[in-house]
Amino acid sequence: MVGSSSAAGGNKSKLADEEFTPVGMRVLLIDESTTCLKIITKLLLNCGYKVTPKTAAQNAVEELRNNPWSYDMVLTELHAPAGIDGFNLLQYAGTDMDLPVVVFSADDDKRTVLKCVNSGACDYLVKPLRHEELKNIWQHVYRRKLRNGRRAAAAGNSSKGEIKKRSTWPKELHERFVSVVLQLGVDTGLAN
Amino acid sequence: MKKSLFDQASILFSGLFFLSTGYLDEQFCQVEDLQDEASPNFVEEVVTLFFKDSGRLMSNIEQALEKYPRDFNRWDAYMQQLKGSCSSIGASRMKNECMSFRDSCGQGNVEGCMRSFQKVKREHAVLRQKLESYFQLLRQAGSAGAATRPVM
Repeated sequence: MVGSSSAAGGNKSKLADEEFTPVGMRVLLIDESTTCLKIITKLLLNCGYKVTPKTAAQNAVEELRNNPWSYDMVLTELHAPAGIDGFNLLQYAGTDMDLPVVVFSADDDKRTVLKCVNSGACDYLVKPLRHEELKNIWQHVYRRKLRNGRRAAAAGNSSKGEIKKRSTWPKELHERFVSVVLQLGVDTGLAN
Repeated sequence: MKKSLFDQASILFSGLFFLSTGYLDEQFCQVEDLQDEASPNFVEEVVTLFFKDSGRLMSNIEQALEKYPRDFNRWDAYMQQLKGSCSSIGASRMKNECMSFRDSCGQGNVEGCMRSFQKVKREHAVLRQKLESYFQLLRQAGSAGAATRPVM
């Protein structure tokens, strides 16, 4: 549980604090290595999160498409030589769906980190992942909720935690928009 | 999650067995630390997955070395995956050889790649042997104390 002391935002953020808990946060986890997937899944479960592990980013994109409201965040390995890799997933989940995406990799090259952050990643973690790092990733979900709550309040919308697109488009239209974007983005003959 | 006395003891034991020789590093302890009452065979399961994973990756590399000559980008990409799996269980000697391989790729050095790959294979085989012995010892010690282990 968080005790934030935000000045502006007042009542709205206090309400968010009381309602928000990291336990049960739903994470979509992607890593091509089944070894890493098993270890990271266990680490996440130990933090109290719910985990859906996937070995291929392509499956993750389909999963998100079919269940757009089932996840609070995406945690993905950056590199996947076969199929869609982390950068493409970042575009879809992060930008189109406005889900917090945390990227991890064994690669600690500054340029890679920059590229990820510029592509919309909330955070970049270096493998091997540790309990100490994972126990705090809920902050990205919380931050997102806070930001959306403030935006909704500013727009005079009473519903909390809805992404900006949703406050102007009905859900069905949004989903159709997203699937068209996916169609254009994904069907580029990527080998799998 | 509670940890049995046995699990605690085996963490100490692996320190002597592996860490001092450098085959495995601290990360292996982190993996052992995840073994608990909810996942009583976690370490062995992870190690089994690792050898399955790495076996597959190494045969991909072997094929690529033959089928795609001088395709350093491809070779490097495969080796990066193998390196990732190695670091996840703390296989430090094997990981170091993976890194030499990647260095050779960066330099466009085919000979260097071939030599490093042989070393990777050797480290892989040695590690498998050591871990098999390790689990065997644990099993022997475990069956001695089996009556006292918590029932799932």
